[in-house]
Amino acid sequence: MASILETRSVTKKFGGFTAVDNVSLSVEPGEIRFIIGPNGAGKSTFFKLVIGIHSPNTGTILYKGQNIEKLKLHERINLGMGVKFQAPSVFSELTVLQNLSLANNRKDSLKVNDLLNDFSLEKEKNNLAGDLSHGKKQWLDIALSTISKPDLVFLDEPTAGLSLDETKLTGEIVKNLNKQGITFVVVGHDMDFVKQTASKVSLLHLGKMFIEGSVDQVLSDKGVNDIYLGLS
Amino acid sequence: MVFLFNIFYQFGDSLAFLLLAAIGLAVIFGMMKIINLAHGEFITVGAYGTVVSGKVFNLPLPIAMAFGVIVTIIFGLILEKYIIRYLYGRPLDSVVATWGISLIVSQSFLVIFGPSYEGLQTPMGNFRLGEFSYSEYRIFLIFFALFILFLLYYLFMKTSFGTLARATIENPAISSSMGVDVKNVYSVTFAIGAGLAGVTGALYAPTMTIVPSIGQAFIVSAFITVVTAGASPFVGLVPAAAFLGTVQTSVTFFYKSTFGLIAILCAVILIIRYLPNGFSGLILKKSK
Repeated sequence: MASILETRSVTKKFGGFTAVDNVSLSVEPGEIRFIIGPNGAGKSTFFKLVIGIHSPNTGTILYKGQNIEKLKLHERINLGMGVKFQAPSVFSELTVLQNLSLANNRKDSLKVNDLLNDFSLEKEKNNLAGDLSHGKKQWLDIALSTISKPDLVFLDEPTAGLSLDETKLTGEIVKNLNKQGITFVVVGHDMDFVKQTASKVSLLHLGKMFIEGSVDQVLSDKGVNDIYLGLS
Repeated sequence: MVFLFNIFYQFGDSLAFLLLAAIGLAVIFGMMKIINLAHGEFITVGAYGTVVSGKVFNLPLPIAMAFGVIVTIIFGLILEKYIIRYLYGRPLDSVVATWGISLIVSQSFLVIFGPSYEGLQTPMGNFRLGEFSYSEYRIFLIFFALFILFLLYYLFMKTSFGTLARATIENPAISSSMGVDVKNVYSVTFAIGAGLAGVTGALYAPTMTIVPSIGQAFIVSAFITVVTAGASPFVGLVPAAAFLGTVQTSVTFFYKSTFGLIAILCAVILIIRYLPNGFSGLILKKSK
């Protein structure tokens, strides 16, 4: 099957520091791919490279076979991608419904009422997004990135600051959206969330791709344990 | 009766002036947070566009006014593309840049058109009430100012474009992540602000002596009205202009126009002191 997202030998340097070093990755349609790694592994930089906030020094980024390195963020979104940043990014001065209607820019979008129900936002639909709790802001943000039913959605730390129950529900929502045809690339290091949700995991370490595989393969690798324990 | 109408006329004239001076700036400064010291020059471009097209091409006044507005929109779009675009989020830099633009534009008008330009005749006519004569055009301006403010409120608060513009200006990164071309939204919004300043210039062109510094007559009134309106200018503009207009009219009525201007400035200082979020802050707080 053709990859929906592919990076070939992507490198990003900041001065003399190499944040992402020759990383190649291939994501198949229908996956929920997690990019994990300890702090400083290069996850966030890699995330910013694939969504268009940073440009790679070398390497190629392909979306459905199309080279997208030169495209800006909004142009990549209009190709059929969705993005959720690490901090909840909602328009705080607009209501929940206004936020959703702004993000809803495709005819075959997901239904607003279904999303409100799935994300437990029905009661707050007319409230200002700025007045929502942190957890509900995170959910609204995920809803904003998925409402247009993009083919590929990038989520950066979607469970940051969520309780265990909220994290579990977030995993269920992501899996449900995945069943509806959305491929996910998720940056994070919440291992419970990874185990619950991931179909495949890629681990970055010191900017390089260290290992790829199923959740069990990656988490049972001795090198991975050493990395997380700070032994390598 | 005549006394009351006279008060209404003076108040309405002051209200219209403050509103029309402020509408363009309400978008560019109130919404977009660009401290546009060239706002007066946008008004100047609108005024000259109207008068020059009216004189040179012998256009009827409404067409000449439309021409003046279009010229100002084009002028605004060019400025936005080549200068202002790089100043979003840099308010202090925008002060210096727009001040420079203001000087260049006013001096250019001086060089091209000379120290004054023959104006257009004020349209409509006058009517008498008691011993006083009143301009019908000034009455028209009062209602037109309120109408255009209503249109502006509707555009930015009730339409999907307005929601998109407000949202994009609040957080361009989120808009971009929704596939919005942020640069286009900023350009169009800035052009609307410039066009509104052009409307002001076009409307007042037949009532004023056309000089390169014509816009300077509006700039102070524009800034104090937008600042007094507060964080949500489209909500606060009418009460701000009504309050300032009342202060100015009252003091001018009993003393002189100079004291009216002093009173208006004192009123603004008090408003900023006691209502830091302006009239819109007060209104939105009460509506919650």
